[in-house]
Formats: sequence, structure tokens, C-alpha cells
Amino acid sequence: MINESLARFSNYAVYGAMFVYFIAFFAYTAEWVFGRKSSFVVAAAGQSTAGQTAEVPAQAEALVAAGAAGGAGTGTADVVPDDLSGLDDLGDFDDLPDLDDPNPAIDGGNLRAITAGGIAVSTTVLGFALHVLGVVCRGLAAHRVPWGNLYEFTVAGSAVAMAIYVGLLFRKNARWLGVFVTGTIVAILGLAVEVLYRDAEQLVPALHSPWLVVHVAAAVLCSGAFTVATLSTILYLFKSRYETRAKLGVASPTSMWRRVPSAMKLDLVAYRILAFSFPIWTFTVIAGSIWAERAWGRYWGWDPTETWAFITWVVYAAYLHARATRGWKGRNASIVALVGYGCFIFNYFVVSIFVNGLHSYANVKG
Amino acid sequence: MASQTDEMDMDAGSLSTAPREDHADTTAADTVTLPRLSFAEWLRWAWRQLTSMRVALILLFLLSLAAIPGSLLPQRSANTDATLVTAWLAKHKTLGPLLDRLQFFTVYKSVWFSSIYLLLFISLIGCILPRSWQHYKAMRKPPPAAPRNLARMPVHYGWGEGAGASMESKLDAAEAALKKKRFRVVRGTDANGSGWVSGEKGYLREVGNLVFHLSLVGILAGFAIKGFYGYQGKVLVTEGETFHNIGLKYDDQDLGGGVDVDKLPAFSLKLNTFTATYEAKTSAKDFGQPRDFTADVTYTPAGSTKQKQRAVKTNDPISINGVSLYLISHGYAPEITVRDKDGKVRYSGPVKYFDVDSMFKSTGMLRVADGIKDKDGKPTQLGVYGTFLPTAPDTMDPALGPVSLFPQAINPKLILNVFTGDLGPSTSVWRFDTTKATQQTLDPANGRTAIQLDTDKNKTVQLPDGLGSITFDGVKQYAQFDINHDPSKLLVFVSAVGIVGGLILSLGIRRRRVFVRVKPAEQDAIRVEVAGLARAEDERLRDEVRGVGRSLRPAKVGAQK
Ligand code: HEM
Repeated sequence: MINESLARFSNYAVYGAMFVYFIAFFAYTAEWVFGRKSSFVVAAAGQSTAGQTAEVPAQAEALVAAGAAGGAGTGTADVVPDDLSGLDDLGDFDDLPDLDDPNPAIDGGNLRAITAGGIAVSTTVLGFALHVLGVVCRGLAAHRVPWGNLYEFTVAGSAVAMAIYVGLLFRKNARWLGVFVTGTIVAILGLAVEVLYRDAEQLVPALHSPWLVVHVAAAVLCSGAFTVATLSTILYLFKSRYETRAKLGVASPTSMWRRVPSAMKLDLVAYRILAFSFPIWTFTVIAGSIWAERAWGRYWGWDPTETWAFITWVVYAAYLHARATRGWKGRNASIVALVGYGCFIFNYFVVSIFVNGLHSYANVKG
Repeated sequence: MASQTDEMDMDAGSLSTAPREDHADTTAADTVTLPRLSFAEWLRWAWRQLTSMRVALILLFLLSLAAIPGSLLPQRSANTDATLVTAWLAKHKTLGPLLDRLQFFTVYKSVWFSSIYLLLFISLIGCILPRSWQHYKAMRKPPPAAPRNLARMPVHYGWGEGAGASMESKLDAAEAALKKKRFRVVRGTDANGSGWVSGEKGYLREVGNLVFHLSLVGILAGFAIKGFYGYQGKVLVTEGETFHNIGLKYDDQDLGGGVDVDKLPAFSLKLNTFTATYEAKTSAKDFGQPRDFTADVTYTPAGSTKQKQRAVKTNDPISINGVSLYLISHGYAPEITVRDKDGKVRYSGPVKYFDVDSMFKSTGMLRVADGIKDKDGKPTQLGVYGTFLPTAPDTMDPALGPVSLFPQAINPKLILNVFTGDLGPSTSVWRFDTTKATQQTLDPANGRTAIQLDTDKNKTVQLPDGLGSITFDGVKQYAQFDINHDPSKLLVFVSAVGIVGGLILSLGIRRRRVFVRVKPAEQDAIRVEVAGLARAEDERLRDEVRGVGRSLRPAKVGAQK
């Protein structure tokens, strides 16, 4: 009853997605590297004041202006005028600059970097399409939802992470996340196809339940969201260190962290994703206990998987509290968020594979 | 910056569930250092500490830390394999007994786990109930007046308007604009002649937050009820057999302290047939994997004489008198008859075997203590150890030993070993010890101790030395049910809905205030100021204030856009 050729096609699509993401990863890296060169040149041009008629820097500067026309111009422009008497039309409200400080674009206006960025974005989208195709064909091949074992869960969860990134990419400029997201997703997919792989199969009777669909679907959503939030949190920690160093005047002017959004914004991205996914995670745990109630007769039995889902929940709740408490924001709160992700991953891999419990879901050793 | 938020906190304090313990705690902590506290004061201090968010959070963290050992060490409970604990204890001779004394093998019932949980429970109640009351009162009060200096707000715009603009109509427009955006609005005039409109919205955020926290209390209460009044156990019922829920006939049981064993509902349940289907296509990768389990049962609820029939499936339990029975597993029970040398039946019936692999090769034991005499005519015990193969191959490969090819009983075979003599202390007819027993040779023709029987031509084996005979009459299946009584389910379910609903409100709604101030300015004109303030992080506040501003400021005549 398994459609073997569709299942094979799904595998090819996943491999294809991995390969294309890999190219995207290199393109993002190239964008960073070329962009870095140009911002170095610009900085040098700014410092070398008189007498030096260097053609190249000037060119670079012109490109910066062109490339960053969308939202560049650090420094003074982000002060919102309070008095609007000068504005002709209140429609101009919308054109007032945002406080979210615009950062120098990653490509730094460098032509090659811009090309690389274009390749990166298009390969990301292509890879995502293949990725989704892989997930969908898996489900069609097995005539069920494509998250019936840990391999499928991982592939679907990474597709969610990618969807969040692609969504951010189209809504606002989130290219700075690209190199980290594609790198992480390639690693996760590699793990999935190498270690967790299972052929498409029908489900054992314990997994025949509509609650499986919602419970695991919600868990898949959360796994993707938690992953992106964690990346943003890690970037936040680096960026806030960079900002401290910049204030002290010891930061390198060519540091890649210059081109990452402000620490405040990174922190906010992580918070928004986590505030959005915390209710979903809560729902995941609840749907799981309803399923457990249906299948095993008790909604909660302190099974290792349940226990770690609970621990993850508590840690993320603590993160939200920490964010709401003054004096605990920032670094401390973000470390709590990282601990939460650690618990999630621990549950995901260690508990479901190595610790014995009722959740025979992993099915890795076969 | 800080002063603005403080201002918000100060007047918002009474109507929010915001974490304000920072201040309370420091003042409380200052008084701790004094050893001269009276007992009542000390109690009050302890109560304030316990009901602070910080302590609740610490308790919550402790609870999750305390849950960890239970997930890594084997546990004694109704739904785990208790022999794992024994094995662990045998392996860790020094650490084991110590951990055992500290209740590390019953973590979720241990004194330490329960105390954390009880303290958290009290903390939540002490924290949430007063806040709910405060919020209820606050919700009935109008929003506070607009601050004097709107330029101090985090978002602020202002503009002047020329002759012809009227203060009153501006304020009317502001009030209408805010109401349209579902703000709760108050309006006033200051002594200096300027008028203001102050609006607040997002009260549901706090409501959601309180619902969420109250629902947590509900869940904790549910767990306590479940622990005290709930019970669970397992029963194995063979086809044709009837289980009576009288006394305690469960195999593994887990009873709450408040359960009266004599008052369990006396229903009965008979297993008519059990059907299991498996993937039968030999080319399928998951050949032999289970596809469906159905237990066809007839039951009689307590206090009723009407029999009812039902098919119970894996994810479809049956509930009788508030007790749920879940089909959790199944197995084969070969029907065995043991006769003594005179042909008198000494045992006859199904013997439950337990599967050892996914193709349901199963093993089981039977001890017959009465009426068996050895070759000298002395009474002895007979132990029958069997391996059951639901689908045996036609010819057995000696290198592989006994294997089953498929989990369904298509070609059932029973391989028997028989022991006599000292079978160890007789604790159970389903268990014996072979270390001191003598194994009989059942198949002298081939020089083997074991013999293979089927249900057809070779169904009986004559035992050596006139011990008697054993017959393999047929195969029955048994179903294992988890029996579960849990009076907390409804409460926990309602609380779970409250948790999710409350969270969505609490995290999805922003509490914010928008102020509009209209001041008389020189030359018969007015100055309009719009400002906003949010309780917590609020990335949309600016858009909200701009929206209000846009609706209040007319486009300049002749300006083109
Ligand atoms: C059992 C564990 C608890 C969990 C999972 C939990 C969860 C949450 C969540 C998700 C929020 C929303 C945070 C936000 O607005 O950004 C919150 C807020 C809050 N919680 Fe808890 N909470 C727990 C226990 C407590 C306890 C025991 C207290 C009181 C002593 C408490 C007091 C608060 C307060 C005051 C807020 C802030 C509300 C606001 O920002 O307006 N929580 N809690």
C-alpha cells in the first residue's frame, strides 16, 4: 500500500533540497565575505581624508549608496521628529523612519556580494520548494500525514524553520539570517537522512489517532520555530557582545557583526517567535496528553518523553517571565531560552532514541 | 525612559498582574535581617515570599529539576516495567539502596517531589486569587487622566492648527477615533484650559493572564485528585474468560490513598474474541507489523443485569461505571491439558504466554503440583516450559532454533520442555525454578529433551517414566487491559482549555494607552498632541498612535501626495 516510487521521489527531493541549500549556504557566505571587503574599503576611504585620489574606494562608496538606498544611512536619520507641523500631509506619517535602526546591508554594496545574495535567495527558495515537495510526497506515498517517525518529523520540522525564514525574507530584510539558517538546516537534514532515516511505512495501531495528527503537527511547528528563535538568540548574544565592545571602542570596524541587526532587534525577533510558539507548545503537550489518554488510559504518566516536554515547557515559561521582569531581560533571559531549546533537543534525540518509554515513536533502530 | 514606565506602573499597578515584586521583595528582605520579628510578622513575611512570582518561578524550576531523575532512572509504577528497578538495584550495589531510600525510584510520589508541588500550588493560589480580585475591580474603573507632559511619552507627535480649528470638535474627533479603535475612553479639562482624551485598551490581556494562571491551579488540583482518588491496574483476559471487578484482581496496581478497595464498581467483562491483523504482504518492508487490534467484549455494568457488547480497539477504550478499560497489549494462550499416568486430568486450560519477538514467538510456564507421581510412585511437581510459535516453518532450521514467521496463528506449534523434582518455592503456578529440577527427555527417538507439538496429529506427548501425558489442545488469545479510574479528567481538561485560551489572550493582546491633548495656542489656533504608552514591549504602539494622529489631522489644503 506504500507507493514506493513516490517514496523514492520524496527521498530524491530531500536530497535535492539539501544540495540546493548547500549552494545557498555558500552563496550567503560569499555575500558576507565580498560585502566585508567592500565595507572595509569604505571604512578605509572614510579614514583616508585628504589627497588620496583612490578610484576604487570612491566607486565602492557610490555603490554603497546605491545598494543601501532601501533603508541604509546609520546614525542620525533614525530620530523621529516630534513636531509634525512641518509635514505637508499626514500620509507622511508612514514615511517617518522607524526606530529599528537600519544596518549596513550585508552585501555592503559590493557588486559581487549583491550577485551572491541574489543567488542565495533564489537557491533558498528553490531548495524550500524541493523540501516541501519531499515532505508532501512522503505523505502521499504512505497515505498519511508525513510525520510518523523521527526522520519525517525532522524533515518536516526543518521545512517549518525554512518557511519561517522565507517568510521573514519576503516581509522584511532578513538576509542576515540566511547563512545561519541554511547551514543549520543542511546539518539537520544530513542528520535526518544519515542517522534517522526510515523507509515510508504505515503506522502501528497506537499511532492511529487524529490526535497524532494535531499533536505531532504542533510539535513540528514548534521545532521549526524554536530553531529559528534559537539562531536569533545566539546571534543576539554575539551582537550584544560586539555592541559592548563597540561602545568601549575596541571592536573591529570590519567585524561581520556590524552588518547584523542591532542586539535589541535580534532579541525582539527571538521573543516574538517564542511568544508565538509558546501557546503552540502548550497545545502540543495538551494534545499529547489527550492522545495518551485515548491510547494508554492516562493523560499523564511521567513517561520520559512527557517529562521532558514538561521541562521544556517550564523553561520557556521561565523565559517569558524573565522577559516580563525588569532587570532580567537580555542576556540572562536569552540564556534561559537556550536552555529551553537544549531541553527540547534532548527530548527529541536522546530521550526518544535512548531512554525507554512508551513513546515508541522514534523507531530509529528499527 | 525609566520614569515613564514607572509612571505607567504606578497608576497601572492596581490593575495589572505585572511583576512588581522587585520592590516588595527588597522591602521585605530588609526586614528579614531583624531577628526580632514576632511570629505573626514572620508568618506574614513567609507568606509574602511564598506568593511572590520569583519564588513561584523558583519552585517551578525546582519541579522540573526534580522531574529529571524520574525520566532517567527506572521507576516503580503501574505503567513501567518494575523489574527494571530490581535489575538496576542489582547492578548498583552501593548507590542503589541509597537512592531507593531517597525515593528515587518512585520520584513522582516522593516526599520531595510532592512538597515542591504543594508549595507551588499554595504559591499560585496566594498570588493569583488576590490579583484576580484586584483586576476585577480595576476593570470597572475608567482609565486614568492624561499626563500633563505628553512629550515624555515613548511615542509622541504634535502639530499646530491654524484659525478655525475648534478645541471641542478636535476632542470629539479624538474621542470618536479612540472609541472606534475599541479604546475605553475618558475625557477631561485641565485648569489651564487644555482638554484631553485618555484611552486604554487590552484589558483582556490581564484577563487571559489570570485565566492562564488560575487554570494552572486547576491542573495541579486535578493531579492531586488523581493521585488520591484514582487507581489503575492491568488485567489479562483470555478469550472466553470473564473478568469481575471485585476486590482487587489486578496484576499491577497503583491505588490512591483515598480509594476504598471494597467499593470498586462491580462490573464484569467477558472477552469473546480477540482479532489482530498484521501486514501480510511478504514484500512489504513492514511485513508482520501490527495493523489493527480488536477485542470483542460483552460486559455488564455494576447495578445492571443487561449485557452489552462492544468492540474495543487500541485508541478506542471502553468506559464502564466511570472506569476506563484500554486495550494495551495482547498475547497467545496455548490450551494445555496435563494428565497423570491414569489419564486423570490434572490441569486443563489456556496458559498465558508472553511474546519475545515481533513475530510473537512466545514463552510461558505452568506448574502442576497435585497428583503427579514419579517413577517410584512419590509425589512430585511437574513444570512445563513451552515456546509457542504462531506460524512455525514446515521444517525447522537447527541453526536458527525455533522461529516464528508471522505473528498470526497460522501454523501454531508448541515446543515443550518438562521438568520434575524441586521446582522452587511455589509462589505461583505460572512460575518455577529449574536450577534444582531434572529435565525429562521427551523425544528419545531423536535424543532430544524438547518436543514439538501441533494441534493436529502430534498433539499429545507421553511423558517418560509413567509421569503422564501433555496435550496441546488449541490456541486462544488474551487481551491485556489497562484499568483506570481517574476522577480528575474533566477538571484537567477544562483547565487545559483555559491554559491555552488564557495564553493566547495574554501573549497576543497588548495593553496600551493613547492620549490626545488639545491646547489653546497663540493666534486663535490650537496645538494637538498625540502620545502613547504601552505596558510591556509593544511593537505596534507607534502604528496605533500614528493611526490616531492621522485621523485627527486634516490634510493641508493644496498639498498633494
Ligand atoms: C506554574 C508556572 C507558571 C507559568 C508557566 C507561568 C506563565 C506565565 C506566562 C506565559 C506569562 C506571560 C508573560 C508575558 O506577558 O510576557 C506570565 C506572566 C506573569 N505571571 Fe506567570 N506563570 C507561572 C506561575 C506564576 C506564578 C506562581 C505567579 C505569581 C506569583 C505568576 C505571575 C505572573 C505575572 C505577574 C505575570 C506578568 C503579567 C503581565 O506581564 O502582565 N506566574 N506567566
